[in-house]
Amino acid sequence: MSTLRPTSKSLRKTNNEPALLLYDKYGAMAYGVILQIIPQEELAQEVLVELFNTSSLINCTEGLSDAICIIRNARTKALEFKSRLNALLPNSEDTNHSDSDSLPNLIFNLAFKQGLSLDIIAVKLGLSKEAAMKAISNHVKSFRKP
Amino acid sequence: MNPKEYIESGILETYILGLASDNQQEEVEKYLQIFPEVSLALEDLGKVINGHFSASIPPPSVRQRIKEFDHDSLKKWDFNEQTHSQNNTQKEEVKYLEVEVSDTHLRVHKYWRPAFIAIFILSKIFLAAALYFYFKSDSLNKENLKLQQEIELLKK
Repeated sequence: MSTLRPTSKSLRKTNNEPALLLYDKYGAMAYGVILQIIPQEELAQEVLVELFNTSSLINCTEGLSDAICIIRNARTKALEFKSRLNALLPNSEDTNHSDSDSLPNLIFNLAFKQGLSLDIIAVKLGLSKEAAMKAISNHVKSFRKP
Repeated sequence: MNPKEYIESGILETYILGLASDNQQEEVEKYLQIFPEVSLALEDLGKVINGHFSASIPPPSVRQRIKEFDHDSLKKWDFNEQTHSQNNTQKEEVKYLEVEVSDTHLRVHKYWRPAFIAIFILSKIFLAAALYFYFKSDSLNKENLKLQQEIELLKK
């Protein structure tokens, strides 16, 4: 599959064209990842702009596909931005989870959107790490279109 | 762990989403090299996640901003590179030369050049015309005076 082919070497060029090409290919996906963490569209767009400057994508390690690299970088950028925002506006922190959240959804929210490690989540919820990973897997299965 | 169990453990999801620890990442990369079915599962998962997160399209202005942002940052990078290399060469001792500016030249806008040329050419045309009409008028006056004298002579 072309989307997961390791081509991150192209990101190391100082030319801005590779970043724009990546944006054309994965911009919507990165925006979707950022929106998961920062639901405000204008703020998410700020993070997206910040993400696709070439220097921020240079951090992609060799052997990682562009898509995986962008998902991880988008999440990292969004979490950084969110923590900065929370430092400025402590009340804006999104910690309210409804009781109706399913366990996979809750674990996904805590891990992906809140940036908690699986170890901490497992301890807090009284689960094994393997169970937490399985829960995330089950949540990702719900992404599949019927 | 056999590849099927490994795929079903949820490790690939955590790997793609960046939730896996460093050790887990290394482990996944080893499995990817050894088992093609794990690679295929990862590719499939990549498609699913890409499709799920690509539901929202960012506005076109974002692309333009990225383009402009990169352009500016590259300029800054070039500038930093130049200053960095200059700093390295002049690191030992920074010397300043005192320069007294005694430039008597006047710097004007480039459009003044054709304006000056046009004014010069026009001034020459007007000068030639002035001289031409001056001499013409002078000769006509002399002729007029001569004719008046002749008329007076004829009257007498």
